[in-house]
Amino acid sequence: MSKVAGIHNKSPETYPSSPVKSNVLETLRGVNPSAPINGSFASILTSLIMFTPSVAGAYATVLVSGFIESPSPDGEMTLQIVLDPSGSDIVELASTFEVHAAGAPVPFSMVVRTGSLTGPHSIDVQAKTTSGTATAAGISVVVIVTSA
Amino acid sequence: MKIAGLKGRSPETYPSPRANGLVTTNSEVNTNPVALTMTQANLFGAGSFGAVPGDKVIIAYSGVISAVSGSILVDVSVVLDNAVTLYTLQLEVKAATVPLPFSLVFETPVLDDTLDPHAITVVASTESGTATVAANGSVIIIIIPS
Repeated sequence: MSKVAGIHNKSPETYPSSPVKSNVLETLRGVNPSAPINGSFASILTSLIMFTPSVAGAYATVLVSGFIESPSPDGEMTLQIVLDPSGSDIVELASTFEVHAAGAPVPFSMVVRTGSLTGPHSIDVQAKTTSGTATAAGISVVVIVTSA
Repeated sequence: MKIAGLKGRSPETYPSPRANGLVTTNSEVNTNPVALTMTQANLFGAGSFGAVPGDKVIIAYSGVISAVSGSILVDVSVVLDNAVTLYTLQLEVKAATVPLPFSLVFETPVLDDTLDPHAITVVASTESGTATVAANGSVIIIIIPS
């Protein structure tokens, strides 16, 4: 049987392709000690996290943590991670949390990876209450931009 | 002229991405419960993780807090060099035997040269003195050279 280029020392049947190796292109961060939440989606960051991947087809892994407090009990809040809020406005992930009692902080965390990206982009974390007002605090965001 | 390893590439036209991909990852699982009081206690079993000036460090931690009696406020913090609190997450355990799961993520700024190496820890303390423990802690540390 003739040799096949590119499979030296490999048996494709026995050893399926390796996971795609990615290169960390850059990391970005955002912190905000406190942000009010009301009945409409609004950013809980001090500013958008903006980046331009140095290679086309990059991905952004977004990790968010913090806690929510409500001045009134039984408050429900929705948090969402948004890609390009001033452009395509894609909600990458949304999750709802409930504060059961006033003064009882509820921790939250969310992680999501975007699709393949090219060109400049921005990441936002937004929140709103179902009714009433609340506060998001200890907000921390980490964005890891990788090549694949 | 042919150059080995450059087939199909023009280094002038397609410069390599910044070599920021050489990250170091560390992890630890601490299955031992850590007793919490009003004094900050280290949640790592092995002390701290080190990084050098110029690095950025991403900390991802998950664990559970439980209390002997309810309604205890707990502060979980990322601390640099056992002195500087970089990030704090406030949690409340509402009742005894109702463990509260939590996780946090944080990236440090680029570490300066005031110390070499720097030490990163995750600590916790209660805002009142009732017996509380942190358990099932797992931490991932990603060190990124700048």
